[in-house]
Amino acid sequence: MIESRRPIHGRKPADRRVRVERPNSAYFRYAGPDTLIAREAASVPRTPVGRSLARARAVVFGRPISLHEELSERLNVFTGLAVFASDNISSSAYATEEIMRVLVLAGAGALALTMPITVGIVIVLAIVVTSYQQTVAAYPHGGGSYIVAKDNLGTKPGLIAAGALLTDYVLTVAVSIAAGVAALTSIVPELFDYRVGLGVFLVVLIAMVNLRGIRESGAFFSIPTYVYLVSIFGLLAFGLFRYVTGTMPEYHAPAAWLAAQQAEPLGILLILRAFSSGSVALTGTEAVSNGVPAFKPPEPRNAQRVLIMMGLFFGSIFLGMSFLASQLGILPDPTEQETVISQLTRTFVGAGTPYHYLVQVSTAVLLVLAANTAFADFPRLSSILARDGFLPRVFQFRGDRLAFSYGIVVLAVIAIVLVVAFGGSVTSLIPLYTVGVFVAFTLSQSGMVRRWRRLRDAVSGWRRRAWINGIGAVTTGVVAIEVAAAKFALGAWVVLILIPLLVAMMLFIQRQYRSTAAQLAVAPDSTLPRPRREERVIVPVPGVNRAVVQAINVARSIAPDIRAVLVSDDPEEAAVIRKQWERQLADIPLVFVESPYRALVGPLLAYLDVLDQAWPSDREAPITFVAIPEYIARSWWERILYNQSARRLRTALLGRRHTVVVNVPYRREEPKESILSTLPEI
Amino acid sequence: MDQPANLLDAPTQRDIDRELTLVREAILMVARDRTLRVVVAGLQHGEDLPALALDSARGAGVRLLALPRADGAGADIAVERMNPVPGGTER
Repeated sequence: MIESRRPIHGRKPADRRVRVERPNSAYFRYAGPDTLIAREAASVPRTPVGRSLARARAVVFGRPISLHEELSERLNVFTGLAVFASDNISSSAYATEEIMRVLVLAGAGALALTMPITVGIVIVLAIVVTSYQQTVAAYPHGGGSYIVAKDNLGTKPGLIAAGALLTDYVLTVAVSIAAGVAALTSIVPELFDYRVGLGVFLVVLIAMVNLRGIRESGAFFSIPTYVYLVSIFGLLAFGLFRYVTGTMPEYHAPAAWLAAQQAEPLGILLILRAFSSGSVALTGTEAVSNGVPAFKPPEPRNAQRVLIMMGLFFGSIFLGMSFLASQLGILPDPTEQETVISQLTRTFVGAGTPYHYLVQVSTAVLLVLAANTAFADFPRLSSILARDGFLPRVFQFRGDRLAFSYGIVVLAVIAIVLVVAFGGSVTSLIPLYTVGVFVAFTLSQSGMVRRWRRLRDAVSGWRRRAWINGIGAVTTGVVAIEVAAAKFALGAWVVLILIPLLVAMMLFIQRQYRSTAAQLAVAPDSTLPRPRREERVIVPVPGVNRAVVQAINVARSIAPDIRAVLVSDDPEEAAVIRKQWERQLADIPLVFVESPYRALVGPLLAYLDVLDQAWPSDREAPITFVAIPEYIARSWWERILYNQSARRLRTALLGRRHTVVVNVPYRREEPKESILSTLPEI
Repeated sequence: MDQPANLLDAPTQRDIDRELTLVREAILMVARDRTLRVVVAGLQHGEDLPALALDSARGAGVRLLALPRADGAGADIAVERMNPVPGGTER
């Protein structure tokens, strides 16, 4: 009963009123006729163990959040910049270094190309940001590469973009965490030997923060992002001041670092490799357009602001760092123990000074937290793919805190595997990175060009828009080919194989879902007749007890054709049971199957097979209900003692044709209340 | 009006058919070596069934035994391949 209305008659006619009784209002809110909305209390576990676990979970992950609170969980520009731009901005901490690591292979003199390559990458970034401004406006519900490519180019290009992005998000986490740990080992070299363990710990930490929900993670990430921005801009301003005033400090690289460089000719291939290594800086641009719905209204406008701020902040830092590093003649540490940014900072402000520590710690924290961008977008993209039937539906599941829990956990697990497999080395991971993101950029921007052409009658200035996205598509396409070629042998081939495999897997999953859906489909205009099949009930019994009697009573309510089946290895015990059965349940046939090998499930399944074989071939196979009596344990330790056979039997019957398994639970009652009080205690 | 002795009313005939099916299933179970012995108990017409299922039993190479019920109200049917059940009457 949802609610009842009871008229109450007062003494006078005007006193008449109706009392509305809602017996379950503690658990449900009454939202209208025949509509209940579950309250938080309805989800509270009923058992002491369950309640304790829920309390522990609330401490770690926070209290459950209702869907109605979702809007307040959204991000403003301030927190949005921290959540979605931290990946891109944090790339400035290692992008310069990755360019230099390649150039230095041709000797220290080649480092002079660091600045021109940086300028080239910043130009590409400007093109991508401008291009994505249009994507954000055109797709206010989330304009990730997958959606844009699928909408405008078709399913397979969409899936290629999705596969590329999923790969890239995983690498974002692994690279960011590894780079964050490297920033720490720059100031605490003793931690270098523990970098893998530290990386794993940090991935787990970020995953747990994300499982708490997006707003709190936004607040969590805001402070380090802004501390990093202030400290880095402070350092760059100080460095530029020293440059302008002609008071640049002296930098001396250890002799061993110079000796460690192997001379390679400075050819176009090396320059292209340096460019592709630096292009890692563009990763994360996609995140904003993918996460538009996470912003507060007006979502597209806020996302566009974040995109522009991100581009400006990142571009300034990247240019400043590359400029100062080139001017000082900094060399990358071949052991990866100290980062370029650490060398730059200690050269300007002194090693071990509070500002050196501030820059390093804020860089480390930001890099670690930059992984959050992927933690925001990987689960979101996987939920969209799951919605479209390309990934298991479980990825759509949102946990107590409105986070896509499965996506977060899967991302964390794969990232941990990568951190461990690559020994926490940024330079080893970088070759796998970037290919995916540029493939996704290219497909997304190409999709936008096609969209403007398609909407040319409805959208004013479609040519200008198409040109902007077209330039974006061509630029990112060229970079994608360049990155794939330059890094192919170094590891990009792994991603180039992985993306088609992911696409094949997603298509396979979709085919499975479609074929199942086709089998389950009910024609919407058909009238569904009552079932015509005959029904019979099998009740496996261990003897005569209250649980069995309850199961027999349930069987009686299903169909008149009932048989109890006793499988036993002891004929004498069976004879005793048979006699008791005939005395107490005389109207139900009992079939005793002797089992000299003491098996229970096998003989019962054999009996069911025989029933099927004995059924006349000219009649449609009946539905066989197997009603399994089950004693409900009152505590966790009782669960170990009971129902093992029932569990085995249930598992064995799972998926059997024309068979329905009915669990008949029996909860022990007080003898007074029991309707079966005459039966012996079990 | 009295019914002829060899003509049963419909519900009784249905009960006998249902119990006969149970016995035939038990015969099949033993005949296909799924088990050595099956006892079908709780039958209302156990005494009449062996005669009705005799052909099936012979064809399947099993034998039927009527096991007297404790209350003396009828019989249960045991289906087995070889050894007779103690106390049973072979049909």
